Amino acid sequence: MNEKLGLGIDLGTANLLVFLERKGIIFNEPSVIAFDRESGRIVAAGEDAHKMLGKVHSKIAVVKPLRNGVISDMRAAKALLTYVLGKVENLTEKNLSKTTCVICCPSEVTKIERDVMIDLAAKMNIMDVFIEEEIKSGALGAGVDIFKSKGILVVDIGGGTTDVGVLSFGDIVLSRTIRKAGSFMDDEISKYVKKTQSVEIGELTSERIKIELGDLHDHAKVVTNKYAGRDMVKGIPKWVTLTTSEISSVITPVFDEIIKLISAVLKDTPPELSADIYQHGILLTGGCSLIRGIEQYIEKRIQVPVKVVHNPLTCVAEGTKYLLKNRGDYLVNPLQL
Amino acid sequence: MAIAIGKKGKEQTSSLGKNIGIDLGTANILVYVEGEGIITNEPSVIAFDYETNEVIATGQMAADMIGKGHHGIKIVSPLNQGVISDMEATKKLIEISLHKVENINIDISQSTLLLCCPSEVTQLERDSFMSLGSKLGVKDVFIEQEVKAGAIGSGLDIFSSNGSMIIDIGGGSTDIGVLSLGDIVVSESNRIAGNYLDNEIMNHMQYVHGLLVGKKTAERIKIEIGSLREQIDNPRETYANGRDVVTGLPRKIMVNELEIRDVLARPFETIATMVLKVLQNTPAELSADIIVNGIYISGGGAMIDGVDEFLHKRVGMDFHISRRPMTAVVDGTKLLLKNRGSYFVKPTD
Repeated sequence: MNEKLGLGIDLGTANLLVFLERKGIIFNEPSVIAFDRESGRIVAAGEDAHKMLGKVHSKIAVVKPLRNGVISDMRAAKALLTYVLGKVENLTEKNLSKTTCVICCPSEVTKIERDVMIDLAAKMNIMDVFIEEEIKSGALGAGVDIFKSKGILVVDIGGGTTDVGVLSFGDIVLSRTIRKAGSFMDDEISKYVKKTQSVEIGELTSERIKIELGDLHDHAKVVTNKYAGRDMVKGIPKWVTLTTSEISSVITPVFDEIIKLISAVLKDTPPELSADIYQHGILLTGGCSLIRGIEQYIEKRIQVPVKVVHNPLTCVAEGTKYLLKNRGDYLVNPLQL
Repeated sequence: MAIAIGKKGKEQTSSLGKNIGIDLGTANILVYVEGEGIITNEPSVIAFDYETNEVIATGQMAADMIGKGHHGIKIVSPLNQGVISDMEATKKLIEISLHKVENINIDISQSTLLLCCPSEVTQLERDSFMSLGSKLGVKDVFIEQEVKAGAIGSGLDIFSSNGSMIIDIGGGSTDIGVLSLGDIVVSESNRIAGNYLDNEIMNHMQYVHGLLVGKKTAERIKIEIGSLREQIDNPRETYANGRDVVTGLPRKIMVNELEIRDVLARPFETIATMVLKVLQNTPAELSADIIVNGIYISGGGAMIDGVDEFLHKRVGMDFHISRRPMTAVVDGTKLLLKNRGSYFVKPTD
């Protein structure tokens, strides 16, 4: 296997997606990896490791290599990528030396955090690396032609970060990031349950609550569900009953911050592009755009039409397909290649 | 002729090394041999001749002698509170147990031996299990915790990420463990178990009725009328024979279920507290699994009437009695022998 490979990686806080040229998306699972503490051997990665969160004995360490959109554990991130590539496509470091790789990252990350991503690829023996912003890739992956003289506003609410950016002529005009997104909401939910019911719930449970009960509609249908956790006072397992309205009250402040961010970006947008955005609306990507009623919620406050793309979870990885063709160059329109 | 002998010898060595799992309990010893099933399930008691140090009886026969021996017989329970207290006697007991069934021909030195021990034993006590293996001449010995084997033997899938909890109330120790992904997450062990309950009954008989009863009688009372139910409509009764503390004469009295329940309630109160303590140390995500799956009880203590009801009242979770509480641990060794206790490998039956 000496042909030149193209590899697109969406290394998200919540999910890792790997795109391989000519193959499509070869991996789409949570970015979690579990090690054996003693031998350092990998016990599980992706979905299997995600199920282990908060449930392991002292022999296993479950690690999330990313925090708030950036790599926090280099060793684990490398292990995860190597494992995935080896497992799914049987690619070893030897095959990878001739690979071109694009890694997507949040918009506002520091130089150091960007360098860490390049470093990661270098550690895997990939020398030809470039970094692109997630919103650009996301817009491409959603099938939007960003190479026209038309302003596009993309909001990507992922696991660790929320990115808001304006694209025109194939590149980013301006973009902003806050480190509040899916995982932050999970934390808020678990804090809320702890505060109001004195019950501690695990990471998996709070994520499930968000998915099952998160609803931003004004008059959402009231759904009540039972979740289990540990009583803080007595220490024994306990059921808690939660309703949609409770969860909405917890997650709306986060969405209000996101709306503030969108407003801030819109304020700085050149007027000509504003006009385009007003006409064509906002594109929503990322896992959190799956929360019910999000379109109406943002629309009502920003007064601009909002549309969730057809593939919010995979669009960033799919977009790398085009970025690999033009290496992120705005002059080359990969859609016409 | 010479060739024939050589061939026979070769066949023997290949067939003699077996996987052996032993639940070496304070009260009972259970031995599982691969391909044969459970070959021994008897009290861990052994009787020696005082002078020659020869073994007179083991298992049930030796247990029948408890409190009835004369000067010439030394009756030993080689385990005390879950750990080995008499190495030589333990060794003898295992050797004899392995050869209880006549048609089995096992070469123990070539076998793999799995010994089960309580969860909270000291390193020293653990080492004594290991050295027992080497004393028996087995090179391949490994030790697993009883709760792990007990959980598997109770039919729980401990290799999934779904957490499970088990209480093993044995003869010498009560072990409580939360398991997930093939190993123990939280465990707790104390020495309030079957033997302790017998002692409590003996004390009760002495202080309340002025009657000295033997260990065996106390155990029989526990088995016959032991109960933990709150509501007892027709209390069962049984006799207790013993020696009067004051007069020194033999005496027989009747004891009823209510009285024994009050004796047993206190130690079980402690076990309930232990369950709470383990639950307090359990990660929240596993707590969520336990509230759904309930808690399993295995070991001889699970046979006491109403133990699930009693614990449910105090802890609030659902409690289930394991299908075969007495053999759960040794049943579990069957599976553990296959993967050598590694959480990596999920043994399939």
